[in-house]
Amino acid sequence: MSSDQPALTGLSGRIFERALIRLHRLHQDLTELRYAYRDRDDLPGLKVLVEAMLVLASEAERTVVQRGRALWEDLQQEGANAAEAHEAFRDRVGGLMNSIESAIPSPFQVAQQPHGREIEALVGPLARETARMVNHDGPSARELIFEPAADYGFQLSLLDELTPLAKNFSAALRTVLDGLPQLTVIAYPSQLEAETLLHAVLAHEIAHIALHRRGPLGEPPRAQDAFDVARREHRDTLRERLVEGAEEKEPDEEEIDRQVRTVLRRLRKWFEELACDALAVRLVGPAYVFALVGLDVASNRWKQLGAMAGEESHPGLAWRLRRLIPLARAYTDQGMDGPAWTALREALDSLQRDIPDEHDELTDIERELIEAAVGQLDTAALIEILDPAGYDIGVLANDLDVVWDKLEHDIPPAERIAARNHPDDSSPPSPDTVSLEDWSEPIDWRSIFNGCWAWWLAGRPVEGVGDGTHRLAPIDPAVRDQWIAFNAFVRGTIELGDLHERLQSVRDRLDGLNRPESD
Amino acid sequence: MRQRESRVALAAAYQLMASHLIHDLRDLMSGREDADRAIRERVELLLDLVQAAQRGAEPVPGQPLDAPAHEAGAVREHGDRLANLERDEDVFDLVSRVRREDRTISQTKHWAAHAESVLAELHDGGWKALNKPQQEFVQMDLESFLRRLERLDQTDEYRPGRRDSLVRR
Repeated sequence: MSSDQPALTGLSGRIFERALIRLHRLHQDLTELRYAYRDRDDLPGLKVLVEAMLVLASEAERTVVQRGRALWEDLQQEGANAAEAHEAFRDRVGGLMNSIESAIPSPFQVAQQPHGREIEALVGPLARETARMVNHDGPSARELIFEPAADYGFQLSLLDELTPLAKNFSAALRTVLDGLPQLTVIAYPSQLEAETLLHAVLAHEIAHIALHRRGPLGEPPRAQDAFDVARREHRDTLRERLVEGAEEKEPDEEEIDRQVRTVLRRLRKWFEELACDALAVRLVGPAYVFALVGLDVASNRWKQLGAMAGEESHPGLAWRLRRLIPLARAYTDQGMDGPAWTALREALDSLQRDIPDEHDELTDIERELIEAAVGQLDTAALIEILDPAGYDIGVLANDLDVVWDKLEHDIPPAERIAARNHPDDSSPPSPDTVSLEDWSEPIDWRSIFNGCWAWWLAGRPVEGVGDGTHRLAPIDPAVRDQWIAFNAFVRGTIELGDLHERLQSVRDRLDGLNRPESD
Repeated sequence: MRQRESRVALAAAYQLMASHLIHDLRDLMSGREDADRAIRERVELLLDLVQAAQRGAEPVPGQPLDAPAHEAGAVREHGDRLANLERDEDVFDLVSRVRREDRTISQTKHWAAHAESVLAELHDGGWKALNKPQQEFVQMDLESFLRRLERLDQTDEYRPGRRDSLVRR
């Protein structure tokens, strides 16, 4: 023990020593993480998280030392109640250590595991789309952290794992933590990381951020309002039905209220999931529907059963798809012709035919309430909730044929060539004579998703690959390998488009420094 | 805008508050540290806890959306109330779990209301402002509550590593 630390003995001394060692180890681990991420400018969320934990660990260390000194000083005073002083010290330091060890493990675990290489292609586009949304909300900065996990998921603010604890520390610490950006975790199943087309599902997780956006004057989130209106209209009937269904003749009022609360809490969660599904379609288009099916169809679980896993939070797949298909059709039914449009429309038609006639275990009134709430989220409301983010239908209309055409020519559909297009009978213009702004532009990453899904669903990546014999299974065996290969192609294409987007942004920031000299 | 904290993080903060407050209250009883800002802040945290527990015990907020449109403040307050609904319910569950002896919602709510009135008195007027029964309540009831509260991490619901704020799709 160094000379500037009080030499405590006995049980308090042991607790003091162990607490300092543990906090020092935590500090060391966090410092190593900080060092490991020092050059990772692509992981701003993780860097902020590590800094926040470091600040908290330092403050805890400082507090323990301070408590040790205070105990030492108390014990030096004449007539001091030593037993009481020791007990207070042990409770306070022990309490601090227990709290730190309760609050730190989950953010620390997230910080230790940065996202994988294969999800990387989507990090930039999704972060940009989220930034478009939250920057519009004012100074509420938000960084995304992509976390390899067992399943898709989200956590609105990882920082909120630490801030409650800070209430017990200095005001300066609270000020520091309050000034940090929100750290939203977007989890994805690490076992499916290479299946890029499925990651359109991430739009659903991003939609949860939109669902919690407040209005410009701090008004309650628009989507939550929709549920509250429906709840207000249905609550009394819901309660009456619970009273009617009770076994006792005169059921306990409090018990009924408790049940109403439990049911409404569950219905709010179901509503949120259905609302996020709808918002996800507005964020990435029909690709979301195909990805959701691709993710879950093999489970053959179409309806949610009462008292089974998931009942507390999610409706079954069949109901979700029945609601989503019309929203996807809004993108595909624009009177556009061509093989890509046909592929998308046929895929939606076939999906609609295949959904089994199975329904979640809900009472009529519960279903009515959710339908009423979701019914308020028409297209205009969805656009308003996401504003100014979202995937405009016109963008798909503009891009889909270009994507398809490039896929037909084995070209990654990452950019749209503008100035180099020329009539067959004329020479291409010289690059020196064309403004770079008109030269080419990246294709929207969502158009890449939708075009590639159309290409896949039309069976094109498999054509001519296998020999067509189906000895082992009544499908083309090539589909399994081609799925992985095609996803790698999609990933590379999105990366190319993203690179183009970034370079274009850099060029714009340089304000024309790279432009060719005009004549 | 801060979002909902995880149950574990929330519990960890209250645990830490409890482990300090037990001795803060003893200090107050013995006439020491009456003016300590940190103690006042911890009393405020406990006050916040018992207030949230009472709100969380309410069946469901009323129907203020029926309020006249000009009562914008009422609607706004209602909005904030709804935004905190789950947190309040979590706090209510937390208090119920700690208060094992309360069997019904109204018993827990009643205890929280009583604790709130005593703590408010303590916060504003210090230990001497409390009457005898209130002082006994702090010494006996509140201290045993805080003793159990500081061990919340030993229950399944609030064990470390549990990540209930990550919502799986």
